[in-house]
Amino acid sequence: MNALTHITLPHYLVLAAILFCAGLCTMTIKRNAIGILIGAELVLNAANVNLIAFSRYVTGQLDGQVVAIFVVVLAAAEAAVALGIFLSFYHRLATVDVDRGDEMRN
Amino acid sequence: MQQLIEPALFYSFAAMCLAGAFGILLSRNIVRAAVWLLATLASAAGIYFMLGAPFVGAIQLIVYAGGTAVLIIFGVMLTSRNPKLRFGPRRWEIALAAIVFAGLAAGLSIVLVKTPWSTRDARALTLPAAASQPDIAATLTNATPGVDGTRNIGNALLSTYLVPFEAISVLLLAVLIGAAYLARPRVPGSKGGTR
Repeated sequence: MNALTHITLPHYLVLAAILFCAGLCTMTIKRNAIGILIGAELVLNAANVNLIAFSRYVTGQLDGQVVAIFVVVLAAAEAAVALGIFLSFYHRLATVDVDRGDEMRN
Repeated sequence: MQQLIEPALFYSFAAMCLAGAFGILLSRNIVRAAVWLLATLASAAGIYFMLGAPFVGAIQLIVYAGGTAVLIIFGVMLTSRNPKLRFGPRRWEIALAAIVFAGLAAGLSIVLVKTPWSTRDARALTLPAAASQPDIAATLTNATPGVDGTRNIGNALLSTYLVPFEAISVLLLAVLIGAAYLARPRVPGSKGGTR
């Protein structure tokens, strides 16, 4: 039981990997545009967990934490712009179902 | 007994994180998915506190959980004319995605567990490379090497990471202008012209 009770780097990496795959699955499955944005937020959080875990366990420097702060700020900015795009989409098509956005098909 | 605190904390935060992630995956209602996202972000902040990153955890709670999740809920409010309208993925799409991503998660987990990482076991973090100059460390009260802290992150942001810091300020200005333009009030029925 020592591998399970002694928390080391692979514990955090596996958590981040499962979060990443859940976020990718959400981005793939959801038809609601805002659901896709929520999946993107999950992926970014998984990357942040990875960054801070490596900063804590491998390098011991604070660089991973500083980059994680930048990732948080960038994710918030991306969410704002994405919601602006979804508002334009909704104005045009009266729905946020991304399967309806096929005007350029054929 | 004392050695069980850290695994207990880690497994509780990890369980809440994964419960939130699967709640987002499995919920058909977009508002419920946004609330599960809030739970995931809050427990990720707990993970950051456990990893010795209190400043990043606080930023996560303020900006992510308190800002982005609320922004998403506002977006849901503004783009739902008929709240009872539900559209979801088809059955075969769900099955295919579940198989592919479960396989990906299993493969990643196996690789991550089997890799011989060269980790350090020290509990304390040191300063980033550029901020560990002795003259800066001597004048600050909290900048003893081996102690992480907000002050050291602040020093790093203004010394080593100055260029990304300024670039992100310009990016936020661009995001402000872009989002304000994209969400401008429109004449209903026209192709997006303003009044």
